[in-house]
This record gives sequence, C-alpha cells and structure tokens, in this order.
Amino acid sequence: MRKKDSKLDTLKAYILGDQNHFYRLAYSYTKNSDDAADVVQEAICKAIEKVHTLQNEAYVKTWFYRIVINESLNYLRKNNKYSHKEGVLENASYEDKDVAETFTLFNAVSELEPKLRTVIILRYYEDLKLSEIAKVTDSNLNTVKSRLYKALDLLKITIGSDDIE
Amino acid sequence: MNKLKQTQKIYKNITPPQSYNLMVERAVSAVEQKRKKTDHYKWVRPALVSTAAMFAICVIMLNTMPTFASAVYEIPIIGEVARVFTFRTYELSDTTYDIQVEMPSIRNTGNTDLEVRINDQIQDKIDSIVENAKIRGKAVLDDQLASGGTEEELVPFYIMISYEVKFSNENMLSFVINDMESSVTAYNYQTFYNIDLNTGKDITLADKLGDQYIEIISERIQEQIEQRILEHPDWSYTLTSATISEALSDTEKPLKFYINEAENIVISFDKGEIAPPPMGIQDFEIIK
Repeated sequence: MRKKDSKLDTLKAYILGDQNHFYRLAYSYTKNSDDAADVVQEAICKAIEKVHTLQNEAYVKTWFYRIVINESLNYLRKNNKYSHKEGVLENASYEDKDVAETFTLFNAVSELEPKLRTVIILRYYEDLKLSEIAKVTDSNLNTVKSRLYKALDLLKITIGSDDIE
Repeated sequence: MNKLKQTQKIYKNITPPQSYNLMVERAVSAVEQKRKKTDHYKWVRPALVSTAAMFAICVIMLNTMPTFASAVYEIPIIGEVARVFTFRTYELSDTTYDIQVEMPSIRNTGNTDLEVRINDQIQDKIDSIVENAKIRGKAVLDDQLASGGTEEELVPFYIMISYEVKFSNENMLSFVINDMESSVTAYNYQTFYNIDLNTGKDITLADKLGDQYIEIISERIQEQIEQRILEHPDWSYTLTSATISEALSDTEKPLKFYINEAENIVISFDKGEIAPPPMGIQDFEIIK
C-alpha cells in the first residue's frame, strides 16, 4: 500500500498548508465560524477515508476543494439556510465611497445562490482557472462559463454598475 | 478598476480562530492520535476508565466547539470580534478527586489590559475551585469512610469546569464558567463575566437597567416566581417578596447575571441558592 501512503502524505501536507483557504471557503457558505470548522473537519475525515479515490496527486487541490464544497452544500441542505442573510454590513457606513461599494459587492457575492457563488469564489477569491473550477464542481467548462456570466450579470444589477471586473 | 478583485481582500481577511487550526492538525493526524490515546489509557487505573472516556469526549468537543463570531464579516473593519476560546483543557485525578477543566480565555478585544485582567481572574477562579476541590474531596471521602464506607465503594469528588458564551457582539461579551461538582450529591456553581468591550469595564446591573434597577429586578423576579409556582404547585422559593430587595441590596454578595441572546439581563441563581436543589438553576429574564 505504498502508493496510498504517498497519496495520504500529499493530502495531509496539502491540507495543513492551505487550511485557512478551506475555512474561508466553508465560511462563505455557513457564515458561521463553528459550522465552518465543522464542515472542514468533516471534509478532512472524508478525504482521509477516501484518499484511494484520488487518482492523480497533482489534482489534490481540486479534489479536496470539491469535498469541502460538497460538505458545505450538505450543510446548507441540512440547515436550510439558502436565504440566510447576515445583513451586518448593510447598516455600517463608511467615509470612503469605494470601500462602501466594495462591501456592497462582497455582500452581493455572498448572497448569490450557492452554485453561482461557488464559481465566483473559486474564480476571483481562490484564483482557480475555469478548467479547475469545472473539475471542482464536477461539471463541464461550458456550464462553468455560463454560471460565471450569469453570476456576473446578477452582480452588475445588484451594484448598478457594469464595471465590476 | 477590478472591483471583484477588491472584494477578494475582504474574503482573505476572514481569519479562522486558533481552535480551527488546532482542529485541522488533530483531524489530519487522527490516525497517530488514536495510537497515542491507547497508550495513554494504560496509565489510567481501571476505576477511572469511564472518566477517561469522558475526557476524550471533551477533547472531541474542543475540536469542534469553542469559537464564536456572530459577525465575522466585520473583521476587515474593526478587527476580529472578541472571542472566548478554550485556553486549555486538563484533567487531574487522585483517589479522592477527579477534576476536568476546560478553561476559557478571551482575546481579540483590542484591549490588552482588559484581556490580562479577565484572564487572570479566570485563572484565579479556576485555581481556587481546584484547590478547594482537593480539600473537600478529601473531607467527603473521610465522611464516607467514617460512616462505614469501604475503600471500594468510595465515590470520588468529581468536578467538571466548563464555560459557555451567553452573548457576544462588538460591544459586549457575556459568558459563564460552570463548576459542576458531584460526589454523593451534585451541585453547580456559576461565575459570570459581563464585559463592556468599549470601556473594558464589567457591566453592572445599573448600567443596563438604570438607577432603579433594584425595584425593577425585584418586581420582575416576584412576578416570575408567582408564575412558576402557579405552573408547578410543588415548587417553593426561599426568596419571598420581603427578602428579595434585601438580597438585591446585599453588596457583599452581588446578584449574578448574564446577558442573553435577546440582549436582556438574566439574573441567575445557582442550584439550591433560592429553592430546593432539585429545581436546579433558577434564571429570571429581566425585561425592562
């Protein structure tokens, strides 16, 4: 089982190195610190258990992101929190107009429906390539593109500006 | 300008609490951990296996539990929301006592003096509970022996110290340290911490309810006592309308309270404090 051990080592090293990314990713779904930690913990357990299904070590990142996102979506399903709104920032006021706009846009992203949100987060926050996003979300490149454009359109409407990219 | 790229800064500012990183390390090394735990069990005498198992549960809880940030999206503006987190957990045991401690600590309040003051208070409190427990554990066992108990039948003095966050936002923090003690009987002592994060001071009842707080509280408690006795005819309170104000004005022993999720003051009496112990902790929410 040498090969499995090497996969496991790769996975562990990767998880330890990028752990804060997973927290942010999970947090963008759960919007709650405890639950984000639970989601990641669950994802780690599942990943370690299923490490033999990781076919190529080079894909550990997209493979694990997929588990984290699936766990996050599971969490949303279980907790029925699709329309959960934090609303915390809406009441805040900022001297700087650009900062205010940035927050508005950020809030808009976090209120997109989960599938569209996933694409925006992976593309703009986690800096993944479209082809990688396709792998993470287990969909084809065209689907990813169409979701991306749809999400961008919605965001433009929300902040009332074309100039978001 | 790339506005979406700008929002990435906010995203990157979402910072996990320390306990998260601890959890990740534990989860990743879960296999090794299992092995170590088995070794550990060998050191625990058979009589204590059940408590050792409970301790394992505590560790698992620690993995998933302690942080608390109701408004993490504010992080980029005002820094992390103040948090109560588990500073350490430990276990002490002897033939006469068995103590499990989950010790909280506060941080990210932006006020170092405050953190030092509160964390020192917590440390002192827990130290004194533990010291006390050792002495009482011995006394309880001596009693058991004196009344004809044999070594095998002895019930050690068992203590579990844990904490719970009652309320937290950027202005206020309210949490409780629970000291659960049991040997032949079980008791629960609560110590509350209510902190105004803007001033760094402890929140007082007068801060929240105004100068008339004694009148307000005694009225609300009386109403609720009456209500509860109506609902549970077998309940009784040692606190009567005549003694409430007296108890309230006793500066030696200030009323214990916390702030609940609705941001209301809740006066809390320990088990056995104002009513027969089986009635448990008696909480009174004070709606102004």
